[in-house]
Amino acid sequence: MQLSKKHYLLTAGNALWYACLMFFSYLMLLITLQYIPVRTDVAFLQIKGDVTGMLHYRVAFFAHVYTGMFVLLSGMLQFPAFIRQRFPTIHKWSGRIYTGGIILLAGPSGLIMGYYGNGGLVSQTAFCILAVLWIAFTWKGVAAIWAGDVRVHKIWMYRSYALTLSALSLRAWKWLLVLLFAPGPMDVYHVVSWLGWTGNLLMAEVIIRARGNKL
Amino acid sequence: MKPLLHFFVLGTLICLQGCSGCIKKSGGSTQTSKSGKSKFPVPDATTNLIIKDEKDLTGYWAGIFGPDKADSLEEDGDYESGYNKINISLDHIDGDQVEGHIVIQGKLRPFKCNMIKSGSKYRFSFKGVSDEKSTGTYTVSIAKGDSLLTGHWSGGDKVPSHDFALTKKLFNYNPDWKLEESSYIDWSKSKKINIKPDSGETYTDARYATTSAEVQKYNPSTDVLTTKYLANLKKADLLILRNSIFARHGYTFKKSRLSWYFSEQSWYVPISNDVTAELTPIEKQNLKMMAPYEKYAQEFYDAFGR
Repeated sequence: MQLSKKHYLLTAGNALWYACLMFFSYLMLLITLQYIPVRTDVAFLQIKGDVTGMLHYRVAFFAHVYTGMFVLLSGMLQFPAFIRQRFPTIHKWSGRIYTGGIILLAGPSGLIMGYYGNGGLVSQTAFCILAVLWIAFTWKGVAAIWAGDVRVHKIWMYRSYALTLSALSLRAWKWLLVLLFAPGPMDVYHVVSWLGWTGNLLMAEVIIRARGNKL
Repeated sequence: MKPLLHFFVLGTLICLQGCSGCIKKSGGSTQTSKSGKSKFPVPDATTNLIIKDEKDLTGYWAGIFGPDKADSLEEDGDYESGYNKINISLDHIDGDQVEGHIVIQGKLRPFKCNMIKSGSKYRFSFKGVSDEKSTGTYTVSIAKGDSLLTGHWSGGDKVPSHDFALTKKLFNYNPDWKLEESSYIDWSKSKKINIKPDSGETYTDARYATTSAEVQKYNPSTDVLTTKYLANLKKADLLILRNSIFARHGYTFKKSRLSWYFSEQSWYVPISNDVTAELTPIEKQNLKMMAPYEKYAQEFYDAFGR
């Protein structure tokens, strides 16, 4: 009993990690709230005047922004061991929200937004690759658990969530690079459109390799 | 575990206080404030820049107005001050009566006084009045055969008086006037940064919102700006670019930093506090296009976001 209790407790490191996630997710929520109610003259959209006139862009944008929040939070529920072991129903249902949200809404809409992205071909390529990989990795994770392969499921979901978290890391990188080097807005955008998700994916691979058979 | 949890919850709550500043900074207004146009007649000016005759006196006389740098500079460097350009416009001369107005830092003030001719010199003296308060006494003289209006300003015992020298300006709007190399620096907004030189110790310096060479690339009074160009500009560049349109038309700036910046441009002559009617179609189009980029740069450039 004593041992299992210890097992379920979050370690200090874990707590810090979740605190970080919660904090940046909260900032993400604040960013999202700027678009409620639906309006196209605020924040990021005020410099997207050339595309906000198109219905499919607006649909994609708002689908992405609103679903993104649920994906981010439901994804966070997937990792704590105590939820997976004690409340498998929560794991399953929030997992369905997460994977369905990405594969059906946030992913495809991200691809459309990436196609019309700022920063020219450099950033558009980055965002389109990101969207395709995001859908693909999430799908692989779903397929693996349908086949009953928990280990492979975990591996692909690590990769999937790494890409989900690029929403946070891209913005954090941008903030840091502006603080350090004060580059032009589009120069920094070129950098973070790649750095935002490749860094995360690298970290996911490191974690997967490090855990190896313990996954 | 319990105290840890309390600490965690408390810490989170503290963190969340005032977080909205992390994702969005309060942007200044990008609108040029209009407080009613002060209308003065455009003086009939001869093209003679060297005074030969009394007729040559009317017109705009413009130049830098302020105390000598050597006197005013504090030991640690008085960075907060700059120089304004003044325009003493001699609107109408009738016998020994001079009517005119002065334009400086967003203000237009009329004056009327007697002119004294002594030898080859014209002299007159008037008081600047703003909101029924005196803004000092101007004593000026112009010599025949000379191109300078030299003067002295005294504002009472509390402020140091100073001399000034102005030249006659024939103002004809020219969209081709280019921004000359001069830095706009907003000393009120700084960010501490650590600089590590190749040799020596790391030191802390402050970074200010300042213009870059980008502002000289295109002229918003003649070129149709592209979104690609605007999207990569920082807020100080966008601010200066937009206001350069107004400056070319002789807009007199209320905000001291803008007034100082444009006062350093050789072509700049402050004339009016409302130039909206003078804007060309290309300038209107560029102003409309620039507005969202400037607002976006102010609100989101250094925030957590994209």
